[in-house]
Amino acid sequence: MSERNGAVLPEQFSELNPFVARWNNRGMQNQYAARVSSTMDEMQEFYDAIKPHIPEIKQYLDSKDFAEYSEADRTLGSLVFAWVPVAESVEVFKQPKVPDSKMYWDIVDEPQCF
Amino acid sequence: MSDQPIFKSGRPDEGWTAMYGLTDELVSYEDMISPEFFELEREAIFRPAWHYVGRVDRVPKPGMYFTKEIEVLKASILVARDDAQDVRVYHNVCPHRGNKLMWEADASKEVSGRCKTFHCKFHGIQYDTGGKVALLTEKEAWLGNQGKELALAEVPFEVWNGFIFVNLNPGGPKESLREFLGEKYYSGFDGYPFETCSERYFFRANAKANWKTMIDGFSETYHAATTHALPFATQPSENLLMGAEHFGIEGRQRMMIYQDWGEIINFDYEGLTRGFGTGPRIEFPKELKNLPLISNPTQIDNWGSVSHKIWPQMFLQHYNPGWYLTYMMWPLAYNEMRFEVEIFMPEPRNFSDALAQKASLFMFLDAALQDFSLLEATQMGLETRAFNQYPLTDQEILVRAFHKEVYQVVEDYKRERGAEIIGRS
Ligand code: FES
Ligand SMILES: [Fe+2]
Repeated sequence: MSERNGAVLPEQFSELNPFVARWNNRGMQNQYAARVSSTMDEMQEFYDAIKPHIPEIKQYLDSKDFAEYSEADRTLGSLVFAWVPVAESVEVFKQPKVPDSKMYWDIVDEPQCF
Repeated sequence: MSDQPIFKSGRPDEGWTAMYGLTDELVSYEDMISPEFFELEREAIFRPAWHYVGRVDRVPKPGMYFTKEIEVLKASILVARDDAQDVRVYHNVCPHRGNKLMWEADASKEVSGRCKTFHCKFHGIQYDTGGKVALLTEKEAWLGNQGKELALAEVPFEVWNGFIFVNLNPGGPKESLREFLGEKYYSGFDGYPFETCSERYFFRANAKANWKTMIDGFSETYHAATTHALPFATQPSENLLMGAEHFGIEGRQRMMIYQDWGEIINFDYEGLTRGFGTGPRIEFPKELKNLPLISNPTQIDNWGSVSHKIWPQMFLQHYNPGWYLTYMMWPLAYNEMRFEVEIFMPEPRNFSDALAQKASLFMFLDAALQDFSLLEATQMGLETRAFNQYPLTDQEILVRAFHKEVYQVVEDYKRERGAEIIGRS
């Protein structure tokens, strides 16, 4: 697998590789879309897998400037961003969509950190 | 900067409604369901007003531009930085045969970018960033000087603390932006480090609802205990759970202040990401800790947010500590609106900062979606005309004051134009 398709995480986080294909979504629009097109079971699995690693991921990525990120680092960071809306569904709403809502925002502009 | 509160703090004994000279009179929302009323609003309210279209930071370099659609006034605006480094604002229209100038694929959509000249897609005439003809096609065929004298039409604008406001009143602005905002607002933000929040997020959505439904939604806080029962984990109660600390009325501008509810419950993901619905809990740049008094005008303890409602359809809201947002409720029809949210945050120093920022925004968007998703239900309910009049609580003083003002401005307009309008009908 090449680094280009983002399928590989930094060595120390390789146990999370199985989640990359589904959850390596770039940008808030895609990250949210993945949440509302997933089942609660799929989300629970991803949620449980990532959660314990977050402090370590933060420590690892914080040691670099954004400009120094490898593709694997970008994938790792995006995976955590994608985890956030999933965690909201799991912890708060207990369902993929916000209750009593039918649409979502058009996310027109968003800063790209890395 | 003085330490004296510039507004009196706390609920007055007589209540907000009485304090602002209003009564418990029932309110009609005909102003949200009448197509005829909407047509009057275009001219009475939107035509003479100043409208925020974007910040100067969106065009930092010569040739950078963006367009802004103002459907309610049937206007398309082109904001650009010219080669002399000045901000210019034009009608986004070619003076040759009226073709819309800058657009891509779908002429109704906004665009942005950078270019040396603006090219018209019809006959290829190019305009420089100063609005003059840079390249005239079919040069020989022009009659006299008409071709080479073509120029983009300038739109009156003023820049206030980096916010670009335009005015589309026929014959020029009725009042300056300073008069329009009022002195307390115009000078009250002096020194606010807006440019420190250089990270811009822009979100947008349309709803089949009158533009004022969303303004009313953001004109009180106590719905939060119900509309946002998740995530706040509030239970049904006869007590006021999430009221505002202060409601201010300054001329046409309004203000609402509330406490920091940020860590009421603290979900696991919030603790892990440091992103809360009320903003990222991270170390902020120090200049954001020294804000002008208008950010906490009544000097309450534990301030969470101050929402400034700027006539007619804008909110400028800032949160402790210092990041801010704008809301625009653009009318499209009497029962349709486009809602725009621009969020400005400081640049993240590292991954943890970026994560806290994104996480707080995901939660913010979900909460705003709860507010937004209600609007169509409100519009549908009102349009049934099951009731002609509705009561408002003391916490809804700004809803009451806003509709009163809207009716008043439309009435005044009708009176001014009265003879003319009656004469025609
Ligand atoms: S309409 Fe623009 S060049 Fe003719
Ligand atoms: Fe709300």
